[in-house]
Amino acid sequence: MTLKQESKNRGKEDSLLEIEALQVGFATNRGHIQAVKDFSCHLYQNETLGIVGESGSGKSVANLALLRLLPDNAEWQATKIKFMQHDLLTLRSSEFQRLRGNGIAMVFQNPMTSLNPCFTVGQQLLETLQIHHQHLHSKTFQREKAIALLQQVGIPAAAERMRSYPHELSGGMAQRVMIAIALACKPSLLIADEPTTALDVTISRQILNLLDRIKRRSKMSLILISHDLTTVQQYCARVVVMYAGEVVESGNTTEVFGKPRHPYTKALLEALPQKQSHAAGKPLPTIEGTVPSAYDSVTGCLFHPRCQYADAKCRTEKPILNNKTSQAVRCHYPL
Amino acid sequence: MTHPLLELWRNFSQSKGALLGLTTILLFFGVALGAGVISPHSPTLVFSDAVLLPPDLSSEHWLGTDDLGRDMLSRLLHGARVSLVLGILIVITSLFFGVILGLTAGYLGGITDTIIMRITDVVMSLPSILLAIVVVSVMGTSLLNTVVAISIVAIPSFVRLVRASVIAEKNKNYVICARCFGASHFRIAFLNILPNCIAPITVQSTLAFSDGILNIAALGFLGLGAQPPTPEWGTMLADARDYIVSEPYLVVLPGLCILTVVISFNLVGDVLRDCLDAKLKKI
Repeated sequence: MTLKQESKNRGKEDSLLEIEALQVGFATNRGHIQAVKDFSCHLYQNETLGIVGESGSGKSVANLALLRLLPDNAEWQATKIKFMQHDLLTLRSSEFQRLRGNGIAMVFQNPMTSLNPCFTVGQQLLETLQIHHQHLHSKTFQREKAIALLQQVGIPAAAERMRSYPHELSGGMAQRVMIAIALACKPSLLIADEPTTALDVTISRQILNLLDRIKRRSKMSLILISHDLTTVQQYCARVVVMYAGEVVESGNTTEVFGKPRHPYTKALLEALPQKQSHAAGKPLPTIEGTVPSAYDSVTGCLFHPRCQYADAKCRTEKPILNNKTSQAVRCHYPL
Repeated sequence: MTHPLLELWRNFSQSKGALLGLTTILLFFGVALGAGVISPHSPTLVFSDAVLLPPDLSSEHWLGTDDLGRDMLSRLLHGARVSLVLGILIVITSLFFGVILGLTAGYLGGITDTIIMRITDVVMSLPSILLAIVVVSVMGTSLLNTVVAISIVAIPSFVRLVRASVIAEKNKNYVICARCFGASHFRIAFLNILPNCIAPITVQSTLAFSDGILNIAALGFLGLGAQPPTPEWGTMLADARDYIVSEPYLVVLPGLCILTVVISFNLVGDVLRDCLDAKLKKI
C-alpha cells in the first residue's frame, strides 16, 4: 500500500499546511452561531488528507476560512495558520489574493453553478491562465496550454470543448473543467470540497481517480472533503473526523478506520453497509439522535447525548483533543 | 453549439411586433443618418411665399410648410437626427454612471451601498421632468444641457436595476470560484458579474431610450430643450400649438414621429425582455 508508505517517515519540517485552533462564527439575526469550534490539522507535501463529517459539521466553512472566502458576517480566529513559508494569519489581502489559485486552489461541490454561465470553457480557462501567467506567454501558447489542460483532465475533443458554454456540459464534464481551471494555477494544495456529491456514482469514481492521478503527477497536496467514508478510506493517507464544528479524531486512515478510538468514528464505521459482517435481514446500526443545532448549547462533550459510553464526566467536562500520539482523539474515555 | 446571440435572434424574430419595431427603428436611424441627403430642402430655409401649405404629394412640399414657410418633411427628417442622437447620448451617459454606481453599491454593500442608494432615492423621489427642468434652468438651455438633465433623471433606474442584479449574482458559486482562483475584486465585478447582468441592462437601455426621446420632446415643448430654429419634434409641436385647429397636420406629424419611435423602442424592449428571461429559465 502506497498510502501507508507515504504517511511514514514524516518530520514536521516538510509540512505544507498547519492549522491550529481555528474558530469560525457567524453573526446572524438569531444571534451568534459558532460553526467551527476547534479545527486543527496539518498536511504534508504531496499528501491527501480526508476531512469527514456530517452536513453542518463545519468542514466546508473551515476550508473557506483558510482561503478567507467567508461571507461578510463571519468572524474567525486561530492561533496558527501556516501555509508553506506564509503565515496566513498576518498575510495582507493583496498578497493573499496572489496566494489563492497559485498556492491553494479549490474545487467545489456543484460544478454546474461553479462555472460562469456567460463565458465559454475556453474563455474561463484562458482568464485564469492570464491572471497567473500574464507576462509570460503569447496568446497562442496560452491557448495550447488550455487545450492541454483539458486533455489532462480527460475531456475528449478538447479543442472543440473550448467553445462550449457551461450549460452545454454534463455535470461530470463541468467538474473536469473546474479541475482544469484549478490546475491552470499550478497550486501546491488543492482543496476538493465534496467534488462528487452532485455527480452519479460512476462519474464520481472517475473524478476521484482523476484527482488522485493529478495529485501524484503534479506533486501537489490534496484535501478531500467528503461525507463518504469509503472514498476517504480509499484515497486519503490521513483523515480528520469532524463533529459539530470540532475535530473529534484524526490520524492515519488505516489506524483511524482500523481501530477507531472515538465513539463517534466507531459508530460511523459501524453504520456503513458491509458485505460480510451483517447478516441479511438485520437492520444496519444507526447513530441515535441528531447533531446538536448551532443554536443548542451542549455542555461537556458535544457527542455525549448520542454516545452509548457517556457518563457524568462527559456531560459536564469538555474533553480536549489529545494529540500526544499520532492518532489524536477528543474523548475522556478513548476506546 | 449555437451562439447565445444567434439563439436570442431566433426567439426575437418570432415576434412580428418586435420585428416591426426593429425595422422602424432601423428606418429612423437610416433617415437620421441620411437626412442631409434625402431631405428635399434645408430644415431652416424659409419659403416666404409658401406659408402654412397643407400636405400635398403633388406639390413641392409633400408634407406642407409651417407658419414660417419651412418645409415640414425636411424638418421632420432632421428632427429624427436630433432625437436619435440625443437619445443615444442619454442612454450612454446614464448607462455609464448607472452601471458604475449600481455595481459599486451592489458589490461592496455596507455603507457605500447605503450612501449611493439613499442619494438615488432622493433623485427618484423628485418628479423626473421637474428635475430636468430645474437642471436645465440652472445650467442654461442648450442641447448638451438637455442631455445632462435627462441623463441625471435616467440614472437612478439604472442604478437600482444593476444593483439588484449584482446582488443576485454576487453570491453565486462562480463568484466564489473566481475568487479562489485569485481574481481581483475589480475583475470579478466588471468581468465576471457584469456580463451576467447584461440581459436586464439591455432591456432597460431600450426603455431608457424611448423615455429619453419623450423627455427631450417634453423639454423642447416647454421651451427648455432644443431652441428654434433647431428642427426638434417637441419644439415643433410647441411652435404649432396656435394652429392646432386650423392646420392640425403641424401638430399631428411631429407627434406621430415621437409616438412611432417610442412605441417601436418599447416593443423591442418588451420582446427582448421576454426572450432574455426565457433564456435564463432554460439554463
